[in-house]
Amino acid sequence: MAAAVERRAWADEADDEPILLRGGDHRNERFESAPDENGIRTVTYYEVNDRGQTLKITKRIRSGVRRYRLNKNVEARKDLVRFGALAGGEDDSTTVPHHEDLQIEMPQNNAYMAIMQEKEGDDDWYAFDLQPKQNIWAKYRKKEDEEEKKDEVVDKVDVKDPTGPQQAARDPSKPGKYVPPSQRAGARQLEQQQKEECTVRVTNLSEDVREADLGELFGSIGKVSRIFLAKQKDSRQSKGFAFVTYARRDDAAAAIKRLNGHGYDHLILNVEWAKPSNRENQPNQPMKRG
Amino acid sequence: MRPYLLNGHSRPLTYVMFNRDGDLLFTCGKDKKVNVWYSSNGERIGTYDGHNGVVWCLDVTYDSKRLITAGADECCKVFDMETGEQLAEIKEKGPCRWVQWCRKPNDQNKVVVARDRFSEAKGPAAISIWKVGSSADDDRDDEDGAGPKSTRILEITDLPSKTTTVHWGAYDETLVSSHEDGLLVVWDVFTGTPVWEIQAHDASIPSMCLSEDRYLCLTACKDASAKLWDLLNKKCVKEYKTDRGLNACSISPRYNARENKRYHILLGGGQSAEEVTTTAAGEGKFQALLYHMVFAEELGSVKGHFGPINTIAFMPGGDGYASGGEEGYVRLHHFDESYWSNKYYD
Repeated sequence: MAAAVERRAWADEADDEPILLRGGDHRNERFESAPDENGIRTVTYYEVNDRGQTLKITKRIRSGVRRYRLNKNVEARKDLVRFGALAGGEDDSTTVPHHEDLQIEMPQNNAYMAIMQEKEGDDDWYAFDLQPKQNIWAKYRKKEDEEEKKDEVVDKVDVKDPTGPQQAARDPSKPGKYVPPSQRAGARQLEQQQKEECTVRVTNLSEDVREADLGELFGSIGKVSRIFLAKQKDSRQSKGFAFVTYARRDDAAAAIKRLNGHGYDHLILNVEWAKPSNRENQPNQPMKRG
Repeated sequence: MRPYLLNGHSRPLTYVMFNRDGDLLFTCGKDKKVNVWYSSNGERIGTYDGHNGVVWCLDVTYDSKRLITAGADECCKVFDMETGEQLAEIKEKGPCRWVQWCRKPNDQNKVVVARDRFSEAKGPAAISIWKVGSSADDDRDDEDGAGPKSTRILEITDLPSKTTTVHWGAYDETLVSSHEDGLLVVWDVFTGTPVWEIQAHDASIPSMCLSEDRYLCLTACKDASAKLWDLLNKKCVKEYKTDRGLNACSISPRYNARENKRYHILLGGGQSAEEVTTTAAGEGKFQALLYHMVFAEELGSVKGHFGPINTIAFMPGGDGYASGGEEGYVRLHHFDESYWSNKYYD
């Protein structure tokens, strides 16, 4: 690598650092440095403005090649001679751009849109209670929470409950046998109802928030029965929103009141009522997008 | 999205189409005019003059050299695309409703023409295949200066009802025609006999369009529905339900693109003028409808026309579309960034 050590030619050096003589006429001179490691050349030249002052202008120029494909035929047709009724070459003012910026309007009631909107990230949440084994919170649900609403819910129990004969055997109206609250008639409805009534949606969470952090924060207001934190499938990082289900609706309301706008982890939380799941209303969901 | 309004026609539009390269837009209308525009900025390049009646349809070759138009003045004319000069003329025995070049690249010398019945004396309605004469041929037809003589190769007169559109099928081996009584027929090009016939709709099919490979066929019907047909397996694959009578349809060329796939179709129509007094008052529903090809759900609508949309065409790159309305306006849309970035559309 002897060449690299060698001094560069004197001409290059002169280009790099133009030595300018004071006075004298530099107007026709132009100095251009060799490209540096970023490919930037420095060009210096002089100009006289209309007030008679000589200006030294230094420009840093990076040149590169951008390749894109053009259709040869389209290029050949770029400047067609006007013909037919326009043969005279007169200004043809038949075309006007539309005066306003149009948008493709989305339809209001559309199953596809609804699903797409729902899928925006809540999909994990709705899938959550489709897998009862994973629903660990149900196990720890306290008896008294059920008792409070039992009376009103029992009325609503569907006779054709899918749990069928097993259900009949454990009918709470037949005394003497203990039935866990989760298996009592109406437990499912209660769960669903409770979930919809007492759930708040928390958004604007930071990426590294964990369920335990949320439990700490939201647990300070009331008894939390379930926390769902949406996570990225691959990295398991938070998607920035979560659903918190309280045991009591009052607590949920208090949480919204207290924590909406609360600063947390350099972000300001947004806490609102969760929109009810409409999965039940759409028994035959279209298939997922491919 | 800021569409261009092309006001080159004084009467309803009958057909709009882009050339294969996508740089030119051809339009024709009931005002006897045929116009060509730059699709990038909507600037008009020229007009093709000579028809003395409604121009119902047109088609330009893949190389964008020759344009053929079908007129109600019982002839089809071939024009030089760049100069507007008439190269040849096909004289038919009735008003021509449809014309299309065969799809053989570099050798598009045949056209299919659909004509209506005009009178008993002139002959019945027919679908014909013509070999278009070119100046290179020897047998010039100079008797009236109409250009080289064209010869009829095939004539199908045994039609169920008025033909609305006829397309060349895959490999130019079949013809696919739609009819006013809702029938969809596939014909053998060599024998002129029907290969497949189906009552696709219960009302007229004003518009039909085929995918690039010509195995998918989309029909738009006056009964407010559109259907997607698989011409290879000969069955209906999708049905699209709308709330208006349809006149026009187009399949996005990006439905099978390698990147930026868009399973989209465009449908257009609306309350026609003669129905205004007989149907409930309200909006005319003149928006262009963007539908998902697979889920058959409406994705969006684009307003603008103040008459029914008679014809609609996607740009060959799928990055915009043109629609022609009954009110005489062509609207040329280039989709903006949100069409490509919005995840609802992919």
